[in-house]
Amino acid sequence: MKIFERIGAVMLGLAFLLTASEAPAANEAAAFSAIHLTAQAAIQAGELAQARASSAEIRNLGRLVVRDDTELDRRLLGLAAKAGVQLADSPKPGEMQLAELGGLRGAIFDRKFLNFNYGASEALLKQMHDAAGQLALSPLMGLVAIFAPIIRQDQFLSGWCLGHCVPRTKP
Amino acid sequence: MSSRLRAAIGAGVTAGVVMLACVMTGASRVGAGWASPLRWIAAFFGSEPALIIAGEASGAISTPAVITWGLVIHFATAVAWAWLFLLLTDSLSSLRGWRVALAGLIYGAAVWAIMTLAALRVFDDVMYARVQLLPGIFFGAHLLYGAALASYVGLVHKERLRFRPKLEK
Repeated sequence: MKIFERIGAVMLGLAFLLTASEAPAANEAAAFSAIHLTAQAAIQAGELAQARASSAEIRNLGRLVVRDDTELDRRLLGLAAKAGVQLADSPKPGEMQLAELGGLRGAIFDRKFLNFNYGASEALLKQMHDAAGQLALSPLMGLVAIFAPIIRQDQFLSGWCLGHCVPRTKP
Repeated sequence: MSSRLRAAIGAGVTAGVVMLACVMTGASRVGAGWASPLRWIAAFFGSEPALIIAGEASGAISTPAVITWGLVIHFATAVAWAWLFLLLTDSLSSLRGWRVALAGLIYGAAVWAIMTLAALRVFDDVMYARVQLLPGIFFGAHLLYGAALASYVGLVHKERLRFRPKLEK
């Protein structure tokens, strides 16, 4: 059962990744915007988790994701402003999944949120590494060096919670 | 119990409280929550799940237990470093007044370098990642730890050592 949950999470993560980064970022604005929009989606999901999750651990994870991604986004916006880069406000990745999450509660919400956050973290990590590699801006590299391990922790926690915090459904 | 160990416990707990208050206030002000530093410390035993566990997850420990573990590890480390400080400064009997204060600040900076750049990377990678979000607060807290340690040693421990021979006579 646990293995199917993990496979499901990875599949959803990959689906999120494909919708979040369809094409490699061509320039600074695209690279910065991709990270900004994914962070915004993760923040929105984290806020939903704080209000709707049935497990205390998942509410705490939601709080952690909101804090971490808000701080990442705040620092990214600072970098963009310094570099004179205009960020896009749309399209936000995972909008359909977020709308679905907004209508759920309880264990089903918990499971879907964890899958969503796993995928969003994966997308964020890829976008951050791509941007750092393509743009070679030292402040951006510094930001990625600080936040990549933190986003990876949040992603690990989503996977851990899938196995430990969500009640198992009886066969 | 030796007088040095007693003094190390007194100095370590005093300086540890000052340091913890500084880190908790800093973490709270940047929106991370006052308990976050203790959760990060508890990740030494609990790895990433210590960041969020709240008692309901299967096999997880409760939030009070995570905070207690954080406190135990923090104060044990604070007392150990205080013991080393006393060991170093007791052998330097001429170290008094502003020299003790300066030694405390330098010691605090050295403890910060060893703990943050070496020990955390090896023993608590979860906390190492989180410390990168508040580097100034952690550095300042270690300087305060050193200053509080030096104040305790200068005001309490050295005075006791100075008066003890007279009292024993």
